[in-house]
This record gives sequence, C-alpha cells and structure tokens, in this order.
Amino acid sequence: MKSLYLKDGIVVDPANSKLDKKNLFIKNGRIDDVGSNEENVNNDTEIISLKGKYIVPGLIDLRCHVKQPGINFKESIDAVSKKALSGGFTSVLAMPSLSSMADNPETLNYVRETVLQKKHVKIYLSGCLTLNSRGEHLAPLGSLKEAGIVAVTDSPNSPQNNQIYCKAVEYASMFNLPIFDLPRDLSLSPDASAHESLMSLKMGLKGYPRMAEELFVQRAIMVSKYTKARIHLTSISSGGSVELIRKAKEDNIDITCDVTSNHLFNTESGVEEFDSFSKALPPFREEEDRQKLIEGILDNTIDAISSGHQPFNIDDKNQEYDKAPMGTLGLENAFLQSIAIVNENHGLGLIKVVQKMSYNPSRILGINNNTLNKNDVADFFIYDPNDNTTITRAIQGNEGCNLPFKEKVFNGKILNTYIKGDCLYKYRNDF
Amino acid sequence: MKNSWNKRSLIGIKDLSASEINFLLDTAQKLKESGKSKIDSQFSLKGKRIVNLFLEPSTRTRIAFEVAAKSLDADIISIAEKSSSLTKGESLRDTACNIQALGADAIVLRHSSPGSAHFLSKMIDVPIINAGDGAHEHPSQALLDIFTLREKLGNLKGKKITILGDILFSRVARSNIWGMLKLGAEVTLSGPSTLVPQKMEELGVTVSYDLEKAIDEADAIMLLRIQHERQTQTHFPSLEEYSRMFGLRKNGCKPSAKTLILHPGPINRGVEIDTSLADSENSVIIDQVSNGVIVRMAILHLCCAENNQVIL
Repeated sequence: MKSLYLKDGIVVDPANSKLDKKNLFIKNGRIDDVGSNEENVNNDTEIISLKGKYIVPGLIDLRCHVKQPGINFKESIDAVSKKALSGGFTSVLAMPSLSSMADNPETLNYVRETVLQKKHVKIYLSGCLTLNSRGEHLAPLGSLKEAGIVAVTDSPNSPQNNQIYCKAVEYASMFNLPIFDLPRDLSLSPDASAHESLMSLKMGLKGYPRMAEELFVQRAIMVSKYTKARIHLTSISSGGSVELIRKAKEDNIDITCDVTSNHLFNTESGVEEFDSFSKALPPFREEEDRQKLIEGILDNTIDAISSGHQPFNIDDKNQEYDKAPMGTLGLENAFLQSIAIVNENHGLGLIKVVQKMSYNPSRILGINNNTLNKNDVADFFIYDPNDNTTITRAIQGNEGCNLPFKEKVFNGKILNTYIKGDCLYKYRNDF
Repeated sequence: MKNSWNKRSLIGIKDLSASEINFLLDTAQKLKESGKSKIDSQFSLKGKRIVNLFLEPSTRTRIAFEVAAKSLDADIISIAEKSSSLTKGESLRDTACNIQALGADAIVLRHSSPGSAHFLSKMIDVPIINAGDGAHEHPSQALLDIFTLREKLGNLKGKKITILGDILFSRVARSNIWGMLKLGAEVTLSGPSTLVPQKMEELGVTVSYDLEKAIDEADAIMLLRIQHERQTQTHFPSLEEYSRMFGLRKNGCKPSAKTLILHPGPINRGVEIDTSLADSENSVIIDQVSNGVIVRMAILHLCCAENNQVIL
C-alpha cells in the first residue's frame, strides 16, 4: 500500500486557531501519524518536502450549483470537480437544482449511482425543502434523508409563503437536517436584475432592494426563535443582514450564515456597463454593504465563505442585461480571493479563512471536522503564499464562463489537492 | 464652427457632452432652416441602408425615423418584433448580426431591455441608434424635447423645467434629466412618491411631491404618460386619484400663462392634463412631433454619413 510522507510543512489548524510546523504520514486515505517520526517511511512511501509551505484542511463549499446529469452543456461534474480541486475544495454541497430537482429519492439515488462514483471532488447532496422548490408543497424530507441528503434548501429560491416556510423548517428539524435559506422576498423585487440603488435608477433597471433580503433574514430569525430550529442563511449580500444576524446571535438564536467570496470582493459597479458577467445572485451591492460583510467575517457574525458557484455558458450570458441569468462562478477563486480580503485587513488571515471555508462549514453541515489530526480523513491541499495565481475566464467548451472578472492575479497558489490521500489535482511535481 | 461630433452610435444622452448636444441640435436647426422641400446636399444619405429594428410597439418614433431617413434619401426598412425571427427564438445578437450581414449601414433599435442598444453596439460594427431601451434612455426623444425648448426659450441655462409623472419607469425622463442638467437647466421632478424616487435628488435635481410648488415659476412642464396599464394598484390607486393629485387642471392646479407644456405622447387626456390645456397656446406638443423628424434627420446624418463635417 502506497503511503505519503509530508515533510517540513506548516499545518493549518482551524480548530485551535494555530499554525503547526509538523510532518504528516498518510496511509489508507487517513492521517496515520503526526510528528517527526520517520520510522513509518518505507520504499512505498512518497516523500514530499514542503519547505515551509502550508498544509491546509480541504475546503467545503456550502453553495455549489451542479447541473449534471442532463444539462451537460452547462458544466459537467468533471469540470466542476476540476475547478473545485484547483481552488482547494475537497467537498461541495450541491444545491438541489440538478438537471431534475432533488425532491424525490429516485433522483438522488440515480445521481449517486451514476455520477458520484467517480474520482473527483466529494459531492454532498442537498434536497428540496418544497416540491420542485416552488414553495407550495413540502418535499418528502424523511425519504430524502434516507437517500443521503445532508441539508435541505430551495436555494436559489426561498419559500415565499410564510406558513409553508415555518412548517418546512419545523418538519426538517425533526430529521435534524440543516435548513439552508437564500433570503429573497420576490414580491419586493419582481423582474429585478440589479441591486436597487441610485445606479439601478440611473440605468433604468428594476431593482432588488436590501429590504427584500433583510425581511427574509428577519423571518428566518423569527422562525428559528419560535421553532428552535437551526437555520443557515446562505449568500447574504446586504449590510443590514449582517446587523440583523449579529443581533440574533447575541440573543442566542440558532442562526448561521455565509457570504460568497465574490460578494466580499465586488460591488454593483459592473451595472454601469450592463456587464452581465457581474450579474450575481443575490446581486452585488454597494461599498458600504461590502465593508459590512467584511466586518461580519472579521467579528465572526458570518460563519462561512462559500463559492456560490453557478455555471452558465457564454450564450446564457451574452444576452440583454435583464435577460441574462443571475449567477457567477466562484470555485477557482474563492479561497485566494478570501485570503486577499482578510489579509488586507488582518495578519492571521489564513487561519480565519480556513475556519470560514472548512471548519465552520463542516460544523454547519454536521459532517466530520477535518483538522488533519491522527485518524482524520486525508483531505487537504498544499498552499504556497509566496507564489501567485492568474485566473482567467474560459469562454469555450462545456463549462461555465461566468467569472465576474476577465482575468485577475491573486497572491498565493494552491499546489496540490488531495482527497483521501490521493492527489487529484496537481499543479506541479517539484516543490 | 468646429465639428464636435465623433460618435458613430447614439446610445444615450448620459454619454454626450454639452457641446455634442448643442452640435447635434445646431445641425438639426440648419436642417430645419433648409426647409422641407430642399434638403442641403451635404446632408444626403443616398445609398445608405438603415434598418428600423423595433421590438416593442411604437408609432411616433418609428415613423419619425422612417420619415427622417426618407427625407435624407436613405433606404429604410422597418422590422417589427412579430415579423422578426426573434419570435422563433433567435437571440437579439444573432438577429442583429444577420441584419449587418445583409448590408445595413445603421440600426435603429427599440427594445424593452435596458442596455440593449449598448449591448448591440458592442456586438456588431454598424452604428446603433437607440430608439428607446427599457427604462434606460430614449435619446432622440430628449433631443427633440430640448430642441423644442431651445426654440422657445433660447438657452436652457438657468431655466426651470419640471418633469411630472411616472419618472421611475420612464426612459424619456432619464434622457431628459441628463440632457437638461448638462445644458444648465434647473430640473424639478414631481409625481407620486412611488413613481418619483427621492433618491433621484442625488443626480442634481429637485424632487417635490407638492404639485403647486413643483410647477411654480416653471418655464416649462414636461408631462409624462401614466402607464396605467401596469401600475394601477401597486404604484398609485387609480387614474381618478392620479388626476386629482397630479393632473394639470384648467380649474385647479395649473401652470402660469407663460409656462410651456410638453408631452412625449401618447396623452391620456383628462388624466395628466385637461384637453383645453393640452391644446392651449402654451402647448408645444405638436411642435415636438414635427421637430422629432428634424432632430432624427440630424442624428441619422451624424451617425451614418461618411462625411459628417457639417458646415454650420
């Protein structure tokens, strides 16, 4: 059995908020030994000398839209997997809007049997909260749980009817399934295609006001308060939402939330050029929102950073602005982008980002914490802060093209990504 | 006068400078002076193919562009949505590429999506003239409005102009706001608060929900059509209420004897304005329509002619 010995790396430990200079010995897909013990090394051991590079627990994405099977031209699972691994993700939570909606056990079984067997990023499945995510009729959550889902959500929709929402939350909590809610009151934003602001007014676009999000954030807080159910708000975008959630947490209400890295980085400025690539879901808002989201990350009001990865191809995006779909890619850039944001403001950014992108997501999903201790599954990647990475929008092939930027250079580089000790993404061999 | 026009497309007034606006209007003035029967040969667009791509209903604007093109000896073809391949699922981009390949020298586009003219101008090489894109801009309308105002009031600098009605959904309002502000006018917006966002003050205009104050001492009032087919119930309760609160009445809230009245049409008589006021001496609504042809001739000339070095 082949084993792996990582020498002289720095292990990022998000659970204890520290960096540990230590060696890792990996065997049978798990961390077999931690420390400087070289006795385990034999002829079958691959030895990698990391010379001060970081060993980072694999990232877990809380919002990733995967389209296969069926709609291959959007983005195949192979392509999603490649992007995820190159971005340091070893697990993603697939939203239930697969090619057919994950509101029945048969679809989930089919997806598991046909798609999830391959050697690629780990895909956790979520199920619909309501049938077809229409917000009218509860989905069979118990059966979906038996079929293997780890969370329920109607993302990118949210049930518009309060009764259905309350009952769905109560019912889901019986199965101990975390509820993911992307808060959007659609009645306040019919046909909206941009953040509601002076900019949307100038451009003549129908706006999606902060209030449309904040009302539903407040709804989630109220429902959690009265049902004692845990609700995870995904992809918040408004500064006001951060304030509402901060207050709710002070009141010990069981609410968690995430923001996408793109929302930490972008504002509505692309609207001025009708740039459909910067049309995100929810929309990018103003600088004051962005600053409050970053504050929320720094003071831990915001628990996690997700990619919000939602692939569209060039023909989808090459339309009139209001007709082009909302959504951006994020798997490749999320980690490096988050590092840039957090480093900009604070020194020990790396640990913080890993907490937001690996440790906290695992706790929110109720799956095993991955902290690279003895016997943990060996999901991790190697990170070199002294190199840099250019990420470019691909506009050809069967993959999503909708990065919000054409090309960007980020500090830092993800070198290799391992799942169960197997190197599934290799930037280069020599270290 | 030096030529200060170097644009090939006309997407919006927001992108124009005051001198570009004035240059275009001076060109229109020259065309108007040359008279209907004999267009100065320097303006001729003989041999040019202009395509009117109207993907939203329009009478006035489409016909004005047709008449303008014909007056300049250009060939003009009008395509309406129902007769275009867009009903067969063709994208706007593909439709326009095909029209370009068929030899169009310019496309006049009317479309319901904000930014559609901008979008098209990035996709294809021929000049695009925006004839209204959603609630974004309607530059030819604003230019004819300003042309009409300039004719009656002279320089717009310091003139008080009130725009009244549905500002929120109006491309005409947006284009006029940009243009009037660039030329130094003092602009007031009025109408129901649901259709006239307070936030617009940040653009440099005054917002007033008190009609009497809003039209007091105005040199001109521009009325906008109330789009009751889609806003009654959510944005204001009824036409009766609108008319009572914001309609210009012969016996009620009415402009001073000197105040000009403009309306881009079509008018809802008795709602936005009493018939007798709409037809009064101060009303320049019909001048707007005929100036619309002249101004669009100037636009077509400046965007399409190889030699647009007009001698003014």
